[in-house]
Amino acid sequence: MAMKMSSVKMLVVLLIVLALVPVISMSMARTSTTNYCMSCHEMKSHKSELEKSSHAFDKDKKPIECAQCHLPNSFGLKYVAVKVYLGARDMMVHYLGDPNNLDRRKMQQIARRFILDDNCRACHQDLSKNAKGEKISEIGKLCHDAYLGINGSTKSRCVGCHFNVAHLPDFDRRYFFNAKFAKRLQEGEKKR
Amino acid sequence: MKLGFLGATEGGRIGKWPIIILAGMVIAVVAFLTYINVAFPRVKCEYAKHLKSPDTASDCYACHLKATPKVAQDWYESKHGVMLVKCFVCHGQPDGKGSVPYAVNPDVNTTCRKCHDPSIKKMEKKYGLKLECNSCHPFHQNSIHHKAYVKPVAKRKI
Repeated sequence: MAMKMSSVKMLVVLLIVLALVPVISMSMARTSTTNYCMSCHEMKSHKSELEKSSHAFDKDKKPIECAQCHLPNSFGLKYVAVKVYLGARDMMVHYLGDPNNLDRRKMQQIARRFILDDNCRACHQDLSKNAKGEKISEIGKLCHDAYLGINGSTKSRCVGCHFNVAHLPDFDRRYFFNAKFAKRLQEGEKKR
Repeated sequence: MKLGFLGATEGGRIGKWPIIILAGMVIAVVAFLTYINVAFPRVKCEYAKHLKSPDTASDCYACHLKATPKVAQDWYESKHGVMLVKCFVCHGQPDGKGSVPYAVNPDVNTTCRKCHDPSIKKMEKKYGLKLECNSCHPFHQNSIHHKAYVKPVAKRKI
């Protein structure tokens, strides 16, 4: 009797798990779209910054989605972990925190932590050229050689050197390498 | 065995299942956070170990802008930042070769006095120097902005 009960129970649990798989994967896919990110008003400013940045469109003129940089590209343990962690964090700030007063310095650190090199390298395969196919500067080439381990070595990831590539808070606008991005943002703000 | 509210058995004692489920959830959360910390290490300065291996010290500001953004920004907006009194002037260098000893909290007599000796002497004459300079004059803060000079020590009349 006891054996029978447990086997029935096992079957029920198995069925529930099997039913949950499509539900979870569907909801994961739906909550990874740019549209879903934009359903929270605090993310609107990040979208408007992205639209003015050099990462607004890829080389096929397709708009770049949030998830292309902020979530691991391939499905796996890492993907689920990042999705759960960042999602739970976003929910907590949206419902319990103060979404109108975000600490963008802290956010930068968190965002950099979860942007993997593979996400960057999906588009930037050849590190001796930029996305338009132009050769990069001599210093840039040396830095990338060190990153690839050809000439020297560095522990830095892509985001260790390349920051403010898609979002630019006020306090980072003063850097010379952000001049163009800051100007575009300023022009956009004047028009509004 | 019939389970009642929240898994309590008929005798009123809590059954084993709620405890097992709770323990499982706690273990799952701990395992998840451990995995996150191992797979995605916090963004640290490339030479974060410069305290242990001093030869790897590099451009302080470039790293600390990312590693400790608040301190870096406070310095940038402060008088010391505006006058470009760089980190090593007060904090020394990790390899110990700077003109002042390497310290997170610089000593008044070896650092502040190098530039501010006349003012420190004046303050000593007037009030008697009891505390570190920093308890009234923040090194890393703009006195016009922020909360500089609101420390209770600074407002106390002697």
